[in-house]
Amino acid sequence: MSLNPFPRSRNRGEGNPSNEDPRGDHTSEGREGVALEDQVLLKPWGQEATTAPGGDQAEQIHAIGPWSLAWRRLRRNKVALGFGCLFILLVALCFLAPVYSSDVAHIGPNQTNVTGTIKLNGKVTNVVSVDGIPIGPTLSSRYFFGADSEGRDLAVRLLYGGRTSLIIGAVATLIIIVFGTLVGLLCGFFRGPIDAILRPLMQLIWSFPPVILGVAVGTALALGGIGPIKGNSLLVPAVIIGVIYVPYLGLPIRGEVLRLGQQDFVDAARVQGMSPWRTMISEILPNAASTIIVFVPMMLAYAILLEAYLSFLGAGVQPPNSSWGTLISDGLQYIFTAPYLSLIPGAMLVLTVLSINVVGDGVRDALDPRAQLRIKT
Amino acid sequence: MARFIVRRTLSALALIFAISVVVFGIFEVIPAYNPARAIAGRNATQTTVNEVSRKFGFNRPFWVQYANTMKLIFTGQVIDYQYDLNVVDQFKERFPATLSLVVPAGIMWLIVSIVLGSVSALRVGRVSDRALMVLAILGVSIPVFLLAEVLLYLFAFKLKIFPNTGYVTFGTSPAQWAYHLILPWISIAVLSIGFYSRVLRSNLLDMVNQDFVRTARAKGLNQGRVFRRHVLRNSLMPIVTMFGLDFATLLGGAALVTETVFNIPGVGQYEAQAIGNLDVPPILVGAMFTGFFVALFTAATDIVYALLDPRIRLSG
Amino acid sequence: MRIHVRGVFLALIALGAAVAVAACGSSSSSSSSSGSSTAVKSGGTITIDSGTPPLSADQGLDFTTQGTELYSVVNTPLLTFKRGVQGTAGAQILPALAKSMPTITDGGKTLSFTLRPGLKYSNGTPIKASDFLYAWERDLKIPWQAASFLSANIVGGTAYANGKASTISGVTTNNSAGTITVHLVAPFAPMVDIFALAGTAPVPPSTGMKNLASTGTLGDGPYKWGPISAGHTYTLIKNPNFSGVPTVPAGHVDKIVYQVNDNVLANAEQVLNNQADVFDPGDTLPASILPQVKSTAADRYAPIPTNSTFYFFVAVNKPPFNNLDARKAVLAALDLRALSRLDSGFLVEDCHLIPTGIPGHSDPSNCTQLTGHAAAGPPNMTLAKQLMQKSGMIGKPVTVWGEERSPRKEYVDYFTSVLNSLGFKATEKIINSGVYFTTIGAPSTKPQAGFGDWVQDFPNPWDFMQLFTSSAGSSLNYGYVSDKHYDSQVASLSTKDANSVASQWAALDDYAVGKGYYMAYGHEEFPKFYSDRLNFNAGVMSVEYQTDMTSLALK
Repeated sequence: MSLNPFPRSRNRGEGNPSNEDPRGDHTSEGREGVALEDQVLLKPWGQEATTAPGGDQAEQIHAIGPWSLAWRRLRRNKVALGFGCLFILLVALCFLAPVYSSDVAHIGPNQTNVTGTIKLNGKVTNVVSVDGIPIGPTLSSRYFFGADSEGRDLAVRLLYGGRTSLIIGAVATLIIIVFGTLVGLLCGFFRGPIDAILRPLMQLIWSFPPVILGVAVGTALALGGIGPIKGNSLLVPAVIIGVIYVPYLGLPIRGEVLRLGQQDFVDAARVQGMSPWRTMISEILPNAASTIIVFVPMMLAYAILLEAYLSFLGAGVQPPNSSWGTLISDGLQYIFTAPYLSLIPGAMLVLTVLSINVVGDGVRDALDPRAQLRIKT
Repeated sequence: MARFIVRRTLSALALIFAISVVVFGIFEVIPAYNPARAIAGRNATQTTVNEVSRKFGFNRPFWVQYANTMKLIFTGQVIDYQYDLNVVDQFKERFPATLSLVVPAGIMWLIVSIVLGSVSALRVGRVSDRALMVLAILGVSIPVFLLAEVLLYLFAFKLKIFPNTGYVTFGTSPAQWAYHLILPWISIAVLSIGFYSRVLRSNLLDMVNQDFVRTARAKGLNQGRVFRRHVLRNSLMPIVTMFGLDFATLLGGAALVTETVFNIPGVGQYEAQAIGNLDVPPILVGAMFTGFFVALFTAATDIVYALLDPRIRLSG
Repeated sequence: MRIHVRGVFLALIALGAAVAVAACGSSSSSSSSSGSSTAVKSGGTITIDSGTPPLSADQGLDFTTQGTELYSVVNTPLLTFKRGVQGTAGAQILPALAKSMPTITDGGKTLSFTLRPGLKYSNGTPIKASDFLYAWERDLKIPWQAASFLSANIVGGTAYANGKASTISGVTTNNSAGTITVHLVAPFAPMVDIFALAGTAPVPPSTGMKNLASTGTLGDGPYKWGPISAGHTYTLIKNPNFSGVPTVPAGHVDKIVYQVNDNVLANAEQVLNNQADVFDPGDTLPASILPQVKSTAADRYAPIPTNSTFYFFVAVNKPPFNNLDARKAVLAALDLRALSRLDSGFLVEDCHLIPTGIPGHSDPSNCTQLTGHAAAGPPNMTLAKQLMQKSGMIGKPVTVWGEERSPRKEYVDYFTSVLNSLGFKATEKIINSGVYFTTIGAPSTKPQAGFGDWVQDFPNPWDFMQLFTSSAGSSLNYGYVSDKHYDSQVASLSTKDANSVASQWAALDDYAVGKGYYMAYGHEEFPKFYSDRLNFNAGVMSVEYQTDMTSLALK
């Protein structure tokens, strides 16, 4: 039985751990169903290319690493690339928020202007009417998307809010990737007492109603903070979201590592005298890498959505900081007369998450060619 | 088999216990948490507050309070701090509304997901596949509270096709019951359809290339039969597991946003209120309630797996 | 003095009306005391939509405006505020279950009541004088949210509340004579207001001494409790056994259903579309629906001034707000018009604490010299900046507390941004509305600044001014104000009838504003918004009872 140079991660669906059999060792083997057009000489993960099987072929076919192959496939996926560019554009806009605020709109994100006036179509109008109704989108430099009930500029808050949402999402994703991978590796590789403690812990967090956990902790921290971290630090929602989703990556990685651990190349490494840590990092991790990579966009999308959800419930970002979630939530009261207040941040959020999801799908398709096979009917 | 059931029951109990300890603990840590003051009311003098504190036992140590609360919960006497209502009774009263919301929505999303996922997989790569998948991705990209409010705005306010929030019990009028629940059902279903149909599609595509499918086709079996009996059935197992979990959490009150937006008096709405008021008893009961369903459904799906796959049964 | 004369005159009218009623035998006589046309329809069912439920249907626990609306027509106390009238006329106190106003002796320390004959609960049981004592003990035991009104003022009240006595020693009753005598710890003029609160109404001695949230209690009122689903629905039905107290109208409609839906916008929609009859005035009419209401429902909508005040408090016992100049700078920089807009225009701007509907209020035009700008005018930023410089508090950090309910959160957003514009480093802490007041009132919290509001318990200036006395405690005096002159004034003025010392109350209000003890910004108007099924002019939005249930009638 030759070394399988392309051990497949059975990336089922969205990586929802419930896909995984509770005992974790029933994910089935990867298959060699690689399409003919993609049958090139494959460099095994993390290893130097040695003599190709079948010497003659080596002269006609160029060796392409699996990563470059995946990248190639991704580049061919125009839709994913398109959405990828959109995402980058949105991120760039959000990080240019301070520039927009000072040079274009001339107002800070938390600066109220309840009794202010601006010139609209030549007429001097109240930014917020005496009855408390704000002006709608002006599509000009000031109040491009309109004002909110306190006379704040929605466009400025939208960009700053986006920055907040994206930062929280990114930090949470980082936490998930780092700790999820670490825990998955430790549990799957070492098993024994480590697994006996960490796995039930992960399952507890995973079965915990995320809303209750997130909101209870979020509200608690908003009230008092924990130690040196103030209640309205952005780290708070990021950590909460990160902790909630660690099992979503940790449990599948654990399953993956358990499966990989049974493979021959791991035995070979052990026989060679490699220390367990080195085996874990240089042999197993690269093979689990594609799973992890696929999880990145998915977790980012989840994180951003959960942050919006928590902020909507008041347990996420605290005022006066804004995030897309708080903007949508604040704007919902005006949905009948000033729908733009919630719909515009909503659209931004949906567009961003959509882009991440499409790119994520593209990445997964690129790493798993079988998804592109046709069923001949 | 019996050993399996016993083991699962024990782990379920352990889970519920762990959840209850964590929830109770979270609230102990909050510095500004003042249940005595919440009960005593806004104008209360310090004497009144102390009296309430003594009466409810808030000045006792953590584990004493925990034991007391657990006792009250299991004897069905626990009361919430904000409105002085019996929590267990509230859950009992409100559960039918949550059932009305969650069960039809669940059936709806399961059926639609299977159809969408299958159609997509069968037409993989073609326009219909891409279109359906974009729709599905859109479904998972919209936060549920936004979707619920937009549906309400468009269909109840602007177009006036559906009623503007409210709940009618099935007993009063089945037609009105359904009429008031259509928008909430859609809100819940959309998110899940997006997710499940993509999972199913992916599983189906994986399945299609397995040896046994190739064998069946080589044997000359009819395509449709191959699809239904071999491919679909195997792909559905993971879906069933996920469905069990999602359904369990929804029964426990995870649909709280939908219930709040549409003013459906279910357990989710009660939990949402309690969370807002930092009212521990309903939150605690809600978390345990959800934990109970989660344990129940994961055990049930495991039993189904065990029945279907002898390997699991033997190693269980 | 003015009120007493009017009181006698109006009492005679009410008596005359009652006689006329008895003679004619008609049940819809309440219209004569409300002064509206006689052709008011009887019967029917009415629904009220509210965003917040009462804490309990039991008047022995609850003291919320939502609850007051409901049980004030179920549990009638010894006295009552004038019903069926809008505005300041509703502040008048009249006898209800008592035959007449109490006889006050012993320098103001003893109140003696005599009951009217023939009083009975809605189940027909006669009411005895001792039932009142039982009810007040019950209030202290449960405890009633306003229990301190009884325990602090009646002799033996505190001892009973602490479980050290078996009864309230300061109250004696005589069932055969139908008399009740109350001994006060010290003369306290607002005591008559307290005996007009539904919480002091009698209950049968068989009523348990615990919160009866799902059934309410028995009383002698025009209505009695129907089915209650606590937190959701409260039903009132006509009480056929109402003993017919002349100062309490019998009510027109047969049944009132009070339903709770915290989606206030949906409630407003329902009333607009005539799917519900009354929008509970305790909720704010959302700004988003206001234009529609004003244009399409102008004939059934009116904002009614109430005796409530919104303010910001600051901790005067620690930096930066222990500095008078810093406080005055904030007063000068606060734009009350902005706050009014945040409340959809429902706020009547005023820097004073005592609302304009209560005797003892100070003229809003005084605000200019007290704060540096007119109440409804632009802020005086020049003065504010000067004062900030003088104070040396620029750059000091401040945490402002607020609750997340709109528009209260917006008030705090605005206040925080004003503080920042003055040079403070202000941040907000917004917490859930359900726990807000109890959190900032906890002695451990010690908030630096925050939002506060007060809706009257009863129309007496003491009710508002007592909030900032040092004896009020952290749960009312969030800013820890401690001023000897203020304390002594409040103590002495509260022993005299409010009208006789009105100008002194006003002067005290001015004094406190000048000292920056509170940054009050206005008094709220509540919406009187009905469906077109209801007779809008007959219905009364009373300052004391909110929606006066006895005045509601179908067209």
